[in-house]
Amino acid sequence: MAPFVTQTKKSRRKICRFCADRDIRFDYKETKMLGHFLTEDGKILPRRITGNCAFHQRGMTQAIKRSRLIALLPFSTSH
Amino acid sequence: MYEYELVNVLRVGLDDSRVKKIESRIEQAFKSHGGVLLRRKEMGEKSLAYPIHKEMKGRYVLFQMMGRGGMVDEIESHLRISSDVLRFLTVKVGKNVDLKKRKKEIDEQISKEAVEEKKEASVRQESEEE
Repeated sequence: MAPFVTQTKKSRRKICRFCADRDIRFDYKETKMLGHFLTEDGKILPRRITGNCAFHQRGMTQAIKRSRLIALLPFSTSH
Repeated sequence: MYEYELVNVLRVGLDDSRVKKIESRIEQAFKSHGGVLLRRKEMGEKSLAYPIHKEMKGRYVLFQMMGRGGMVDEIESHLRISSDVLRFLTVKVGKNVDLKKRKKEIDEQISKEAVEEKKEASVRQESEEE
C-alpha cells in the first residue's frame, strides 16, 4: 500500500495585481505589458496562473485580442 | 457625443501626399458629422506580429476623436477601400464626455509625454558619450 503523503506545499492565494495597484492600467497599444500574460506561443494565460480577478482578466483578454487585430501581438507563432 | 480611438496601420514608405489623402478624408468625416479631433499621434514604425499583404512593417498612427456613430461608419468605409491602410481599429473609449475637460487632460498628457521624451533623450545621449 502506498504510504499516506502529507501535503507539504500549501497553496497560496494569488492576488490580482490590478486590484492591488489601481494605477496600473492595461491598454491594447502597450504590448510590453500584455506580453506578461501570454505564453511563448502567444496564447492567453489562464486566470489560475496569472492570478487576475475575473473582472481584470476579462479586460486583459479584450486588450490582447484588440492588439492582435492590429498586428501588435501574434495570433500564433506559426506565421 | 462619444470619445473614440482610431489606430491606423499604414504601409511603410508611403508618399506624404498619399497619407494626406487618407487623412483629409477622415477630416471630411469630422466636418460632415460635427466631430472633433482631439489628438493625432504618430506611434512610429513597428514590425508587424504577422505579415499583412506581404508587408512585415507598419506605420502606426493614433487618432483620438469625439463624435457620433455615423462619423465612425464614414471613416471606416473610406479606410476599408484604401489599399495603403493595412489595418485599422476603432475603439469607443468614453460616453457623454465633456469636450473642454477632455481637451485639457489631453493637453496635459501631451506636455507630460514631451518631458519624458526629453528625459529619455538626455539619458540616451549620456550613455552614448560614455
